Amino acid sequence: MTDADATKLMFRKKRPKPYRGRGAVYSWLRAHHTEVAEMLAKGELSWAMLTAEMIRAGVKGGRGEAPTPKAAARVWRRVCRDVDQAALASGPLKRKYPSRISPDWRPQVVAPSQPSAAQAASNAPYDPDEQLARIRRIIAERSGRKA
Amino acid sequence: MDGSEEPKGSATVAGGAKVGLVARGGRGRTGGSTGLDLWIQRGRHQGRRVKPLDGDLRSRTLGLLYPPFDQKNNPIPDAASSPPTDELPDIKTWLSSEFDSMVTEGVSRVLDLSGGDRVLQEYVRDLVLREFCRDFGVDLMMPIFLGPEIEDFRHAMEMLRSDELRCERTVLVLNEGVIRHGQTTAGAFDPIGGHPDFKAVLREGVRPVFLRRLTCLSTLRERGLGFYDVITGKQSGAKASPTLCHMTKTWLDTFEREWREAGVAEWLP
Repeated sequence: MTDADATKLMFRKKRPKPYRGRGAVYSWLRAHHTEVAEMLAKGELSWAMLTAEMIRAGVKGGRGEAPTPKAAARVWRRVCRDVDQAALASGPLKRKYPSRISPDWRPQVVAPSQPSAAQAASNAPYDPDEQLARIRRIIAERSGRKA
Repeated sequence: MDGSEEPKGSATVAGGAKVGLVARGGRGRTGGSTGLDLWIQRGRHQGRRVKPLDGDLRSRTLGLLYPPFDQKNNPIPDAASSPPTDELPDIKTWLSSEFDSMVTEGVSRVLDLSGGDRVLQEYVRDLVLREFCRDFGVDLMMPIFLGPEIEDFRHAMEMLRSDELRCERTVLVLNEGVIRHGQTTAGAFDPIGGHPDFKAVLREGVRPVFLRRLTCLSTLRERGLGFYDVITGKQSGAKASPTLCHMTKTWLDTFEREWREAGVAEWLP
């Protein structure tokens, strides 16, 4: 499966709502804002994949050109800003965070791990007096005096 | 907390990766964000994923250091996340979302709520954060940064007296990087090192560490250079001079040595 095929499976078909003064790229990104934000946050999506998906959906730029990754990324920032502003303007903010949790997710039973050699050093018996003396030594050294 | 009590070994979550949560406590302007930045860079340099959580909407230090897009507008993975507003309910919702992701994705988080101890305290109470981390195998560490202001120290002691804001891996960081011009290190930290409360919390298991000043820090920031990029020569664009490389390398080496001696280097994410 190519990257573009994989992307196509990731987005449900939606009819983008038109926004005054905004183009088709903006409308498409805004319609898919939640999914795109989630996939970007996970690092699962590149702008090239995203624009390939837009082209497949028939989305075009203002002059009828195919959207480019750079332009899409620029429009995306505007979409994010507008979504945030719209949420703020609609009264008490109820931002819906995209759920990144799979419905199949279950808590794992965590087995106690075996400490590594380095951890064993960290877990060496703690001597507060020694630690205090160590800190005082450093402070004295940094101040140019003998501890 | 009993000082003789040894911290549990690093637990694992999905994929066997070590996952840590660093939740910074204490007042603002104590150099905490710089310390957190160092640990994020260190973790990534050592091949671990670490995601910054910037709850300090006034300074947005981590948000600016770890933006979501590069100069060519390409998304950057593991960019800093921030709450939509600094209202308490929004911050709590944001924290819950990020902690959920931390557990399900198995990616460490470094949380900066500069001066937001009230938020942290409420959230810790709501979630029972220590138990949450224990149950999901997340190593919780709470560093409290101290500058030369005795008020910072008093605030830290108050925080530590509240059992809610303590964990087995609580660290007091004496940050030389924020002492005032003309002030000596001894002048800044002797009143703290000799304070009976300082000795008392150390006996209770809190670890003291020292973070040295990196005099070329502002130059690195201005040039957009990471600590480890400088010493490994991986920097793109502006090159680091030999003096910058040497100063940074010496600082990092000393940091590693001193934090290992303090027994806390392995607690970092």
